[in-house]
Amino acid sequence: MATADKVDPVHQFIVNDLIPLGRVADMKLAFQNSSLFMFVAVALIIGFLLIGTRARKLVPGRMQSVVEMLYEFMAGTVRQVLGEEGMKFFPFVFSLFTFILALNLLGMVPYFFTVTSQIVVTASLALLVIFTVIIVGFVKNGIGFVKLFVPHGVPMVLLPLISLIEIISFFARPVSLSLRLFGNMLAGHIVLKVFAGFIGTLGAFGFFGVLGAIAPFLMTIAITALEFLVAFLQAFVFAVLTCVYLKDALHPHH
Amino acid sequence: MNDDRREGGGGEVPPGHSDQDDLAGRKARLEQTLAKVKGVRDKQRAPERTDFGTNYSKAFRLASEFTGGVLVGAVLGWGFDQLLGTSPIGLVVFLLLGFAAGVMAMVRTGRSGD
Repeated sequence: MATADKVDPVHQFIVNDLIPLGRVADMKLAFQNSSLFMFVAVALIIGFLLIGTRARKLVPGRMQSVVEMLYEFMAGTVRQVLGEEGMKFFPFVFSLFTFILALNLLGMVPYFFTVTSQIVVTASLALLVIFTVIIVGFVKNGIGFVKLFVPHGVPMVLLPLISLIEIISFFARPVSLSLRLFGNMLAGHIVLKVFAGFIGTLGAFGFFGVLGAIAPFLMTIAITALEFLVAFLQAFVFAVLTCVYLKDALHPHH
Repeated sequence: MNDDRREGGGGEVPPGHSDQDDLAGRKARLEQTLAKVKGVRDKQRAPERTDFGTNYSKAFRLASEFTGGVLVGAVLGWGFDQLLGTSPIGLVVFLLLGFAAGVMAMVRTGRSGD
């Protein structure tokens, strides 16, 4: 963070090279702070799940019930959207959900880097989802997957136009998937920083400044709470939409 | 508590009758209390996730679906223009198509209900 007279709300998104790893085909390769936080997130998830399930009691303890809740919650969501046959995608969806959730929540810790505020990361995750959908769709249905772009009961005259729109709509999915997560995290953290910056700036103006700083202070608290909600919701929405898109891959008729 | 009562009042009223009344009364009271507690708990639990949470996430879904459609249309149109040298036409046509795709995706999401 900057000092009170120089607030820089986007400074938190700068990607630093921690360990340079040389160059690959004219591209710089380095272990960056984003990579570090991704490793931290994965380590946290694995540690959390392993410690939680270590006891394996019939009547779960505190940690175990949290882990079980997480599992049941996602399993219920996958079953609800995809049905029982969709449970073979559960590991994929669960990994995505926990990874994004851990990254979002790590970003809420002061001075920590928010990996999901980088569109490269969210776009990679979205592309992973959409390539899974395309591959599963073609493996399961063969060429019948193309039926996804041909809705029922459309007159032959309109079919090319509608199909084109359907195709654009399909390719808009990864874009919207990545933009939503990226946009939410980026915007939320900037707003948080701006309001927090107001406190310092106003506080520098003597007594009345400190009095006036109460308003942005309350706002910062409220937005912090909202950001925790958003961190969870965006991870959840990402997972749900993954399920919804996978459903199209399994049953490509509207 | 129950035993106490039965022993104390056993001599005056027919025991079976009083016991059954007592039991029915208690059951009714218990059900009433349970319903009240459950209602309060449901009310406490419901709004957090169903009202605010899902509506909030749905709003973001709708907004980003529309944005995604328009963006993809624009990029596709621009790409076609670059490839074929049909400068403004591709962008205009695909922007409109992307607009249509965004609206269609939004309508579909709105209808699906989840």
